[in-house]
Amino acid sequence: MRIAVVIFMLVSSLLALGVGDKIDKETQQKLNLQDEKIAVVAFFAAWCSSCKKELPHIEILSKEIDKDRYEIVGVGVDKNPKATEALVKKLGISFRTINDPDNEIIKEFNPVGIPSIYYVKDGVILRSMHGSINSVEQVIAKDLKELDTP
Amino acid sequence: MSAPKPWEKENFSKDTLKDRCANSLLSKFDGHVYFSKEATKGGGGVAGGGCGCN
Repeated sequence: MRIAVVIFMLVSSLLALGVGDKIDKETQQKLNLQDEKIAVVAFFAAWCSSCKKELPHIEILSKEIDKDRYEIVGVGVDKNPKATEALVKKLGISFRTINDPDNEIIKEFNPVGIPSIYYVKDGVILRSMHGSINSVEQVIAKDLKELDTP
Repeated sequence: MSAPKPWEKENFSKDTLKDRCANSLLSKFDGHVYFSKEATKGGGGVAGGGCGCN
């Protein structure tokens, strides 16, 4: 059983978009990212408790970051977009969020888990992290600083 | 049949699908019995990637 899980995770990680991979044009259009900025693409779902814990931290960061250089986009993967919208409203999320009810965007990224965060610039993935992370706003702020250093 | 992707685990996150979690009192009682009679503890959860772990 363990071997099967390990093989599944290995195969999943091989199929997933990784650092240096380019997102296809259609997905880029759906995400509507601005090429000149480093985008933080955060996948979440209303039924995911870890996502609910992380989103308020990302919200704090969204108010502090330099919006001329960075942007944050939340992608709700609930099949029912109303669930995503209700969560966004409940948590008072002000950064841009988009619904992905058909899961077309997340299928392209194919992360090993959610919540998942990807740093994207010019359609290329610079870095990613998966799962629940404590004080995620500090981690993202540190990552953005590192990624923005020439 | 393939394993569900992390974003497809909504139904797994429901309380009714959790192992012995539907009734927390019963779950604690069960745990106590296992611990006192068989000196075992834990093992009620499942490890794995992705959410679905409310």
